Amino acid sequence: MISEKKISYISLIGIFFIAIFSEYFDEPYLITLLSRIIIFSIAAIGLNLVLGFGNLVSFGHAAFFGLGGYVSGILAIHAFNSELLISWPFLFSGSNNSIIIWLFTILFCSLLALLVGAFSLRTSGVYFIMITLAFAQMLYYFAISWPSYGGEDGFSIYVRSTLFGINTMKGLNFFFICFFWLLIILFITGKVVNSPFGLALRATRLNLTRVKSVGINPFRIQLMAFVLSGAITGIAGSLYVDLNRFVSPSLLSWQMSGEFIVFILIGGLGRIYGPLIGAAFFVAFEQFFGSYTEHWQIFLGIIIISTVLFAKGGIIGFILEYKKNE
Amino acid sequence: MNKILKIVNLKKNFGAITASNDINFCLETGEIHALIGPNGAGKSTLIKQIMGEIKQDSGEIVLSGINISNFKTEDRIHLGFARSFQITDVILDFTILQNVLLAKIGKQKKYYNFYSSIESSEFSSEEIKSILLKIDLWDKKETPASLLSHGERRQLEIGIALALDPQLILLDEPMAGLSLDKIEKMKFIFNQIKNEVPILLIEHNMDVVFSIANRISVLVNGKIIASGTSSEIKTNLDVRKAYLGTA
Ligand SMILES: Nc1ncnc2c1ncn2[C@@H]1O[C@H](COP(=O)(O)OP(=O)(O)OP(=O)(O)O)[C@@H](O)[C@H]1O
Ligand SMILES: [Mg+2]
Repeated sequence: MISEKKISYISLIGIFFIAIFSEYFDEPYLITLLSRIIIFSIAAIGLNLVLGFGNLVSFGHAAFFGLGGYVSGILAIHAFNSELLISWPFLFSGSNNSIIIWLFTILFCSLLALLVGAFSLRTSGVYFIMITLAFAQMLYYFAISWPSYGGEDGFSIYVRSTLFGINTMKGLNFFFICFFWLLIILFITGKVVNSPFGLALRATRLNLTRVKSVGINPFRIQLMAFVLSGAITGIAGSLYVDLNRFVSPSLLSWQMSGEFIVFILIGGLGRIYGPLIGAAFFVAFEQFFGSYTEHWQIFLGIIIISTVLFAKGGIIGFILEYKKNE
Repeated sequence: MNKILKIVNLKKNFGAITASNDINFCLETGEIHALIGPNGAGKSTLIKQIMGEIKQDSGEIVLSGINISNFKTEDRIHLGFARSFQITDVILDFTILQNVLLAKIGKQKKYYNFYSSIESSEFSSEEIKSILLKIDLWDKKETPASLLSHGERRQLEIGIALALDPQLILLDEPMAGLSLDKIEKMKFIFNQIKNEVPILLIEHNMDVVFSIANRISVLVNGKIIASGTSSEIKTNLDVRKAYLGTA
């Protein structure tokens, strides 16, 4: 019997060992690729919390990814240049300590999510999609026209942030950090989805009047989920900037938001491990077909259309269905 | 008898339609109080006002001495109101257990609990079990509501209301469309419940009403034209004229 759990464990173990082998066979590029898969899946797991479990189609999650990226990049570059970031109420010139960077990322992204959620969750359907998109676009244009941090060109941060003296410049070490984050995030979302809060969130997706009639305020539930979701996607942005040692406005672009949605759709909507499978597939697909033609996205389009039409549960749903019929 | 719910001079108009015309009414402990009346009389509208889903134009709604006329629905539910809907409204993708659990979580304000598993013992308590036994769905507790029959969904609605640990239950035509033996089952369930929680029951089936209601109120064009026991209502001339169609 193949279950969702099994597929998930196999993919986690698979990624881990491919990374180890890549190190052994001296393929640093592959390790970077795996780190990217993991980071993208963390971003999409964050989105999946609201999209898959709450049916809130946020088309602006790049805002959190990008904000996480900018917060981390700005802290790091100030620390690198020993340049004051703020002078009041105390002197602070950034930090290259991962823990501090992550805490700031979580703080800022939660606050942004609280703001975006407070506005957008008063609407639903297409309006919700448009408002979340509008917020992200605002940040995008703000980043482009902000010369202190590179404007359109972005900026490099040269070195990765440090964590407990680990040499993070070594690809495999950085991969381990990302992998560890993935495990934490998977654990948290797994817990949350099966908690009373998660049940209420899933209920808001299905039947609002019923939720209200048992004394639950759906708006508050959705807002909490949105904040958690924004924080998770923000962490991914932070890791992404560290991986590339480069910050650019493209982190905030609507294409980025769209890709997160695609990972979820391909992997399996509303499944905890869906985004991981989806991101892995996407990156592998991009690598493989991208090396043949720059029009690889045409093929991706075909894949997306077929999943939406024929395999609503995404890859995971497809495998489970296929095995059941065997 | 103790008056749990009191409604005083309640009025509600929808444009030219008078849905509640100076309604005075009370619900007492231990009773099944049936509210009968022709289509469009304003029965559902009364329930909606009691729940705070729509606001009365004037008048008061009082629960155990507290004037709750201006309370939000959410607050009323936490004070002890529970209702079922005229059109069944359970969460189809959820199992029976999940539907009932959701109500429990709502009532106990556990919805900010992010860490406990809903499968943990904390939530699969004896209380949930006794509710599911009462509504006779314990054996099917893992069945998604989408696979239930119409009658079973109606039973589940009662279970959801019970899980809110209510002071009183408002049931909007819970037996509509049920087969005869399902109706018997429902009657049995209601008779069991009423000693713990009084029931306001909207029902069109007169046989049912006369067999289980302790008191009956008759609503016509937004006005309560009579209120009393089965035999009083059966012999009331106004009621026979206005509603039962015989004089
Ligand atoms: N939101 C509304 N806006 C305007 N009119 C309404 C509204 N809700 C109900 N009405 C009208 O008020 C009257 C009472 O409706 P209500 O649903 O309370 O009747 P009812 O006694 O429950 O009838 P039934 O037995 O058919 O369920 C009807 O004439 C209905 O058309
Ligand atoms: Mg009605």
